[in-house]
Amino acid sequence: MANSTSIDHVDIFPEALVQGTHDFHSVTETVCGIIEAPKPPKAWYIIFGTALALLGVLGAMIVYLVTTGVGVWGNNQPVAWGWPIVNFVFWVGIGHAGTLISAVLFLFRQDWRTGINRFSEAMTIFAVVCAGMFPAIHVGRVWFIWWVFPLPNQMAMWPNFRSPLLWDVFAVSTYFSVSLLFWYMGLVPDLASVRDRAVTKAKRFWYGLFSLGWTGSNRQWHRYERAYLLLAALATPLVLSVHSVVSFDFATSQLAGWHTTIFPPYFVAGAIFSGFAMVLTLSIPARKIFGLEELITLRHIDNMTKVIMATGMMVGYAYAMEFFMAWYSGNMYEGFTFINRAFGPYAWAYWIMVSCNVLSPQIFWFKKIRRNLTVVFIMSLFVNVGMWFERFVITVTSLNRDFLPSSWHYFTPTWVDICTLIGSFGLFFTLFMLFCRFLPQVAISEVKNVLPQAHPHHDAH
Amino acid sequence: MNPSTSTKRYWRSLNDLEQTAEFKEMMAKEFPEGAEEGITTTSRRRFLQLMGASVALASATSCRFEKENLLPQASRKASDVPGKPKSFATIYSEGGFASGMMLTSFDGHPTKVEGNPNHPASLGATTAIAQAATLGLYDPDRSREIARYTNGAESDSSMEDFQATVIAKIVATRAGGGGGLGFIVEPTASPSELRLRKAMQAAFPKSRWLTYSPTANNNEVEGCNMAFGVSARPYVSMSNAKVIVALDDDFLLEGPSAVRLSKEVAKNRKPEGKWMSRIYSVESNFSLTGGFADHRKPVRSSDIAGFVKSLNEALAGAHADDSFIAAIADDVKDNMGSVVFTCGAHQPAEVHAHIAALNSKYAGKNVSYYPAAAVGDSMNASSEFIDAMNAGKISNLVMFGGNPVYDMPANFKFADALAKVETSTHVSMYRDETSKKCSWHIAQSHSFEHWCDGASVDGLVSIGQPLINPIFNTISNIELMSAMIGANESAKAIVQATQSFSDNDLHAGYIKGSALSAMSVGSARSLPKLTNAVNDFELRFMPSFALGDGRHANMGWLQELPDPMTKLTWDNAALISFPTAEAKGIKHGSMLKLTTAVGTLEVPAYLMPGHVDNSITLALGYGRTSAGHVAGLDDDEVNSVGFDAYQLRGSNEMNIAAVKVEVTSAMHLLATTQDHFAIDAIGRKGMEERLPGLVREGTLDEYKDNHDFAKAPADFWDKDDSLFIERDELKTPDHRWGMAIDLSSCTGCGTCTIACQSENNIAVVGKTEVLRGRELAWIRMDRYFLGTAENPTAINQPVNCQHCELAPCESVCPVGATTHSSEGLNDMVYNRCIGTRYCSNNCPYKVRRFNFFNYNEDTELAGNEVMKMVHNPDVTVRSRGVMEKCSMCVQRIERVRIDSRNKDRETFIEDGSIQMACEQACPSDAIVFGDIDDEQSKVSKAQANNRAYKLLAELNNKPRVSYLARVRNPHPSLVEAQTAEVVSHG
Repeated sequence: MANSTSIDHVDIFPEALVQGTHDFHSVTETVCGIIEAPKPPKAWYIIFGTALALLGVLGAMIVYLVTTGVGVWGNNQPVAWGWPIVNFVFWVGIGHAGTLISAVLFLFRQDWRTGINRFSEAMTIFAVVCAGMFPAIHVGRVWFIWWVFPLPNQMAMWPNFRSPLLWDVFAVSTYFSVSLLFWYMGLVPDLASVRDRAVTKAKRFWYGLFSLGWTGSNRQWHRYERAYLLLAALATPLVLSVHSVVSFDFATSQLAGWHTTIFPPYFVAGAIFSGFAMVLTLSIPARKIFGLEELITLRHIDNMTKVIMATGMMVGYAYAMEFFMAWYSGNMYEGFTFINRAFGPYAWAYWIMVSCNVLSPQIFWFKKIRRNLTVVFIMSLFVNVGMWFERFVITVTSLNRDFLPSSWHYFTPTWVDICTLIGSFGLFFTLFMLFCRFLPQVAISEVKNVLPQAHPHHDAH
Repeated sequence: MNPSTSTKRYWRSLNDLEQTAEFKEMMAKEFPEGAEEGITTTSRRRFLQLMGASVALASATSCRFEKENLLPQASRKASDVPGKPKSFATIYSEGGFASGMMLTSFDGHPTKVEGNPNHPASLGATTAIAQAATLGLYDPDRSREIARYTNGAESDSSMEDFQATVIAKIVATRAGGGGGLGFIVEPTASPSELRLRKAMQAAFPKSRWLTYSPTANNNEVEGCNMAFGVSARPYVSMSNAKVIVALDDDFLLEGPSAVRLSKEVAKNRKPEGKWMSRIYSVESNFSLTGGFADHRKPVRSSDIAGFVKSLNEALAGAHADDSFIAAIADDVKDNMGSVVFTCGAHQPAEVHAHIAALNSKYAGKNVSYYPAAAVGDSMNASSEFIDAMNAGKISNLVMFGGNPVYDMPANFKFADALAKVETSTHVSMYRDETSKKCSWHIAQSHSFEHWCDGASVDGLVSIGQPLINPIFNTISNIELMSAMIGANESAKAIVQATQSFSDNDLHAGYIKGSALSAMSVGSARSLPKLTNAVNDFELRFMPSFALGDGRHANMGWLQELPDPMTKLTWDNAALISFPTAEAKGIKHGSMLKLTTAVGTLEVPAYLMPGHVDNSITLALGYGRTSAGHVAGLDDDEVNSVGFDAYQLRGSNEMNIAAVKVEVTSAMHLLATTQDHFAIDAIGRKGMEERLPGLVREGTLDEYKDNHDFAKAPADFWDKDDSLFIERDELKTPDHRWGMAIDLSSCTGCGTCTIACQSENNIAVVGKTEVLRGRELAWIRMDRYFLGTAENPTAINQPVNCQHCELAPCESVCPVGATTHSSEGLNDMVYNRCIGTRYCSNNCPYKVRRFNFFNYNEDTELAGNEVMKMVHNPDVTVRSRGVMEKCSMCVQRIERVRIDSRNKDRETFIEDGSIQMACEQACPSDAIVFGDIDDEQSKVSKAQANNRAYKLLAELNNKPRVSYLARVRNPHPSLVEAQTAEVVSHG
């Protein structure tokens, strides 16, 4: 069942997950070839160079911030949380798709995840790194950020376990460590392949070190698959918990526009939505640049756009429900916040959010569009923008007009806000480009598993 | 929420109310800039400059004129405990008249000004300006040394030098009667200074004298002269005034009696009392008094005369078409003998004369008169003196205080005249505009640094004792005057020679029985006819409520204190009515070119609700070019704050001038602490919906019908309804602290804000930070308007931390930096705070303030070593990155508790023995603090009052602060009219 150009096949069977005429060896060659090539493609240099420059900008912004004070941002009274928290929630959201793809889809036996799981897990790790940075630099006294950890001390002072911010610390750090572990475990067999093929001493040493003596014995594979399954089961609840906890920062507080029970599922749906969009944003150029079109196929992309459409509609439902509840509750402050959100001074942000997140994914109803890479790429950018604005709308529009009208104040970002956000993309892409160059972008062993050759008996179930 | 007030429409500024096309356009593109000018870039430089100056100072503490130790303590007295503050009675003079103060002094340096409860002019409260006096004392920009100017070049000099060069010359002219000598002084009521002036006049009979102050005014004295034929000053008492008619007079904020009058008026504004006064205000600008009044009518300052004429006619029995005048006439008839008329100091003498006549008929004993000459000398702003200077008849000029180069009428061209004087000397606390044009500058002592005396309007003499040796190499006016007549006495000797006083007098703060007896003035004579001044467009000059005539301009606290009505900080603006602005195409913030007979000035327009049409009100005291690093210093490239209105002021039109207005295309950013941004239709609707529940008010009749008129359902919430055990029940605290704020008493003057700033070491943040909404006030004054833009009413609401029992801020702090004390205070642990600002987000009152920068170190002068002395040693100075907010003056609670324990009384604390800084300074006793467990305490009673409600009670935060709804006492005939107006515009 090799050729997808056959219309009959497309209609009746799912497309093959690996296109072209790949065998086990050619899959290894394709993926390892990227690492082993003496020089990466030109595009890599351009992107990596740009990302490095932006990372420099981020560094400069942080130095300026720490030496001067958080007043360099546009935060004010009453908008005490501005862009840094918006960025934090944005990045955490992006970090969702990775675990969802690798763990949840694994448990649900969705084989199509194999082409993109490594990719999206890496994306998760780097997105969480970006996300974790923001709350840390956001506080007024950065040098005391370690006080949020429950470290035993002679004064017996503990953090306040009632604070959702503390739950955040635990949720994000747990998520980060489990994701990292999961990702690294999946990498071990592939790292061993790279080690075995390595031609330089340094490569042999480093890949050898990190492949933990993997030999590919039956017993190892057995242990590996058990462990992988267990980790997948462990990671699955985290997909739901992290963003639920992040949403508690808002949902448990008293502010109209934040204080709502719909937030946890709404945030999770939004996170998956934005995460898949980011996977698309990254994989569409990457498969082109590194020649992975046959491993990351149109079917993968098609599937992801469907997820985006589904979660986009969930998010749209949440938007509508918020409005309904604001009206149905009869709470004057709640009602005002939502009318103000949609038609007040920040209406522009609200409508950017709605059109990017609810309206634009609707075009994915059409298969032609789902398979038009240019359109899909542009749409994925729209979703990224829309989801950033969603967090902006939630954070800023609720705060800028709260209970007492005397406190009302419009929020405007400063150039430092803008440069810090752009800089965080620098950090993300720097890490991502390093990943692309030095680690197998596709899970070699898993892809081999979905090749027809892996199932000589065609597995009649 | 509240049925009786639900039809009311509240809004915050004109922009809210009027939805013009321009305004909508402005809304669409409004992204204010200007916050980029980091406070660190320029300030670090200034900081270093000042540090340099401090080092120079350290080496220059050498020769003072005469050394005298205040408290020579070789060994500590048993009663002195280091770190324990003491309180001393002294005085603070504003506009020449003294008010009694109690100064808190820590280990020899004064830190906090309080009113002297025994002093009849203070009654325990102060003005905002007096609260900032300690800041003035430690202002690093104060002049530290005598300076000599040769061809504009400044060099430090010494007293010996000055004595040899100038004083010797002056003493030498004595033989010739002092020909060629000129003296410029400010009006004062200080007996010692008046005595020395007389002695100087006797010693130099040929000398010329000019008494000048840009805001002091003779008109009331002249008015009395016209009415009664005696030179007298009216002394109004409002304790028994049932009807008060204020004619263009902001008597609650301006003038030497503002504090006393606020106290007296507020007492009669409570519906629980036997009777409630009714206040009418007729005024051009929307003043504090206008906001406090029951009825207000916008009338141009130059048309007040016509209004008084109509009022006279109505009182004489004629039918008044104007319902407002008819209502006053009606009230006057019913309250003969207890109707008080007051008139703004800037109104012409003729109007004052008529007011005096009205008072003699209707005020009974509420207005008495005291001889003007006995308490202070009057101002003579004639050009005679200037002519003499120009003609070279004055070769040696000495100016005691004042700042004539800056504040003289523009047509006098004082600076040019000064240039023609051979030797000129300016005695001043700052090397200001005038000093720099003189040949000598003498650094003047602050009144807390030397013995002084003063008098109130009724002649009551108070003695001011020094609290600290002069910090810099300075000298007082009276010491210098004494030197000029060759007596060389010390300030103490001078004051003692003027009057004898006992230690008891010193302790009390005033000399008992020194008040004069009131004059009998007889009935009024026939008076000149009143006519309105004819001008198409008037410009009214008003002293700045915070900076006075400009002398307090370098006080950061006062610059950042929001104007009670406009909420404007760090600027003055041309206040103009909305219809006039619309007719002329003026937008909020448009630069206007104003031209009067004597000058031209560009100032930004501020669209002021309730301002009268065809009139502009402009505050004096801004646009200083040599005030200091806060208000403007050309020498150091520090831009002026605000615009110098004196450039428009001519000697013929000192108070009200005809003006030509042109609109320019330039815009100016005005930093207000409320309405930072214009409000669109949605925001306006949201406010209309919620404000009746937030600031509750009703009329006296509504109150009589239903004492609970201000209650909302959430206010009847009962503790027993709760399903879980309340926090308080888990503990048995000794006390449960609480506060009550009576909106019926609060005038909105803002004194509490400065008192709090002084007590709690709150930093000044500067204009760019105010534009960003980062001001740090722990107790702020919210002001809302109700009604039409043409003639709204206003209501003020002081908001501090509400110390919620179920504080939403406490649960969200990840490090537990804000916690609950067992006595119900919401404590802020600065050391533990890492600055997540989550608490602020979760505070529905937004009373938490964040140190976005190191405001206490990096800004302007805050890092200065001298300036640091102003800090209250009991209160932590916050660093950057830390949240702060009202602590209920926890340091004051603890001081009293410690004392109480030391007295072996264990936990008993007498009600009233702990006073919050805001409560103590409040001129209208609107704030009460105490133990709400004690059923007999004032605060318990206030919280149990029917009018009491909690702000946002429906959120179930259970604040410990209660507000008492405001009750107005409108005239029945005007109630219908007002309602109709709101409906027709609504």
